[in-house]
Amino acid sequence: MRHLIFFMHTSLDGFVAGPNGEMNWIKVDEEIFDFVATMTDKADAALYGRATYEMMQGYWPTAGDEPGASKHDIEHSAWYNKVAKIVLSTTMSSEGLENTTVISGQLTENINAIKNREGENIIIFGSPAAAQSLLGLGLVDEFWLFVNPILLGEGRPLFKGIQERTYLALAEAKTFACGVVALHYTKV
Amino acid sequence: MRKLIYSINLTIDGCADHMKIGPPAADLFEHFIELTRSGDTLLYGRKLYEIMFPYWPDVLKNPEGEAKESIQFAEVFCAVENIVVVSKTLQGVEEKNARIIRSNFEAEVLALKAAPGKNILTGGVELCAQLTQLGLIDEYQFVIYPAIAGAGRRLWDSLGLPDNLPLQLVECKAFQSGFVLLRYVKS
Repeated sequence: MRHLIFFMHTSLDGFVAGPNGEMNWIKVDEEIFDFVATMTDKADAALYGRATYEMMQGYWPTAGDEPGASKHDIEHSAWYNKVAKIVLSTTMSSEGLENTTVISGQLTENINAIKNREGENIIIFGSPAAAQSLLGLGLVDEFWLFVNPILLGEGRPLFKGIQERTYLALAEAKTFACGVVALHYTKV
Repeated sequence: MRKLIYSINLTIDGCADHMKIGPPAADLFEHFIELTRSGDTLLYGRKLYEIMFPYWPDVLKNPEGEAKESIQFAEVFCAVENIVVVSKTLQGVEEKNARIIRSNFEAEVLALKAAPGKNILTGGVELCAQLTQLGLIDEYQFVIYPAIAGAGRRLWDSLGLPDNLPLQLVECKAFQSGFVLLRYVKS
């Protein structure tokens, strides 16, 4: 079965964005981009919430073609255009969208159907609201939490509405030179 | 000035309730033994004091049935020279080497830090908030337990930070048992 893998940048105190959506504290650099590329190489589908999808869709389809595009822009843009996109939304329609599936309900059935198909891993980037629904239903197989060396104090929490205690297995803790620690957990 | 080291065990979602975290694994005890050896003063709030005392002195008194690493930790823990408890309500302390701070918190902690000696070791939820707001913690050590608690008291909810606090990572260590130690200093 394909694994659904959750990638998220978080502050040390578990926030994914500041109280006004601030994300300028997130540290990303070549080292992190190159590392994430080794993960996207093993994935052929991306899952997003609607808000994150719209952000992605507004940038990645053409990011690799822009003058001055970085190595990461070119690589991730190519990946984005190639992979199947899965969007969780109750308001969006997939009409006219290429290689894109919209899931509006019956999350467990729909996600499991996709996971049971032939293919490589499915990655969730960001999308805190969508991830929380999937987490709550136990559909996430692996977590990569990129813990930034900062206490935000307040903001949008990463983990919300999880009812049951969930035990995970630590697979790896990876340190980046910029002070970010990537914690890799798998479902027990 | 000597270092004030804050240390706590948390779930991945920041829950600090020790009942949800369970006892440390053997390899984690080694870490806590080393940390405790590096200090000569414990700075505790009432709740943490009541979790640790008389629990650990009792382990030392009645070691039968206790794990080896647990007894080793008890030995090192009970040998720490000074115990300082911050509390307005605690009636008294039994240990001869313990005293209670009831007021002038900031001045008392600054005096402790200015005194000669080994590290000062602290923990707990309320103390973390007070000490962080005053900027008195030199090093933070978070031990992350491989679970999401869901419900439960989050350390971070009571932190009450006036602003962002950037930290500098000094160590990340994964234990066989699945715990991860994250060590930060003020940046």
